[in-house]
Amino acid sequence: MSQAELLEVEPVEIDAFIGAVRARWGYDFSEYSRPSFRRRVLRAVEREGLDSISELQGRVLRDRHALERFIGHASVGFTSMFRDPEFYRAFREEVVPQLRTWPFLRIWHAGCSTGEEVYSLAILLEEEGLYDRCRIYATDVSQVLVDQARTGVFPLRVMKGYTQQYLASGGKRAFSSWYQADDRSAVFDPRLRRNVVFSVHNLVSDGVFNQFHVVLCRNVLIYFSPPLRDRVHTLLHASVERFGYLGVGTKETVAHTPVADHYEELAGDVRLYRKLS
Amino acid sequence: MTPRRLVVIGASLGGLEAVQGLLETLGDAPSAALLLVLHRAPGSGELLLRLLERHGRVAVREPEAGEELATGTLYVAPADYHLLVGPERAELSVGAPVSAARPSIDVLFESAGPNWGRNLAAVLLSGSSDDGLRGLRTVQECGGACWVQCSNEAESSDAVTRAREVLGVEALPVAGLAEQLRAWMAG
Repeated sequence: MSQAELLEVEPVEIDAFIGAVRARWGYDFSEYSRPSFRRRVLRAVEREGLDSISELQGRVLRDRHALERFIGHASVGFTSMFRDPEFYRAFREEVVPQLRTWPFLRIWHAGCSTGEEVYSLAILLEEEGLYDRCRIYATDVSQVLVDQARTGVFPLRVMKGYTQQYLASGGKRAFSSWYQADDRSAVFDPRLRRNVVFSVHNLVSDGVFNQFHVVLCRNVLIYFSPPLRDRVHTLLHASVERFGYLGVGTKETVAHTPVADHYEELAGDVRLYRKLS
Repeated sequence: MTPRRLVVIGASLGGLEAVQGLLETLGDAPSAALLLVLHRAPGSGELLLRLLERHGRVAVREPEAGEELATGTLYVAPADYHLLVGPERAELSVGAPVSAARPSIDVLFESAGPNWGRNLAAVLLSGSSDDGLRGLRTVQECGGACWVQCSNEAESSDAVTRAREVLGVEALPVAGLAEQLRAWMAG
């Protein structure tokens, strides 16, 4: 087949793959934004050592582990601790004082991927003396990623960059006091997850499961088509307590969504919103 | 207005001046949207946009995730995000770095090819790595127009040289690239 023909077949194969995964396993990728999803499918074909999307479909239909691998890779965000330090600085300076007024705090980190930002938040709350009254629910669509997040182990080589971001975010200690280093890994203080519940949650198909004082959902909805993104924003809005907070990625916004009028944006353009109604 | 044509531009570190040169001669791109991946450090922000804005007549901005494309606008990949493009929208991703780069030129070009076909032009400016080569191949296969900056002008040029040698892509100095693009956008 010529390249041109292959490119004509490709969208048909992707549609078939989406339909098959939905019918077999119940995961619905039909409203994921297509350019990123296509890229992820093509990378999965390479990673699995296959030649076509149709072959990937066959494997994923028959093998649950292949499905888990696909979902893990398809939803992984390569994030970092204290990504966008100005976001965490604003959280420390603007949100934390308000959080102090509540006796108990429920926090939902939706789409926690490998957990870098969950541990970032736990460190921040510990340093601010709030962590003992918090429960953080850290969820992701992928069981593989949730399991990895739970370990709290990250490569040692990225710690230098994380240290800079931690300091830029207003961190108060030596960053290295939060982990034990061995040859290759930084193992984060297990006490940081004493109030974290890790579990699987699918923003596409699962509903509201609690109300939270803080919901973080950063760089997750960027993979969704506008109608799906709007629906998930409605779900997130229903999950935030009145006067609670929603934090999204620095290139995301609640503007133009059906719930835009229910929030006010905090100053500083870091995409932190307070729910008014 | 919804663009009829799309121009994707890739440049490595050191390619800023070439992009500025391109924008200077390009005009206001009334029928096209332009997307740029310039390798940049995480945390580099507004300054880059201002530096680009000064040199051309197109509007310059970093897109929000899922932003609809408009003509006469240059969308710059935000630091630490991949920029992709669908038929109507700019998309962002925090997927793994590709060839150690995020944003990656290949990621942009490879997403543009199948969606824009013959209505796509790709320009690869000075490159210090292989980033952009795979993407140019995809654009070619999808029927898009490709140019690279000629290598005696590019400050560092592995990908550019190989694009010329392996893919047979025409190499021109920046002023020539701008002229070709102008003609292509008007055609």
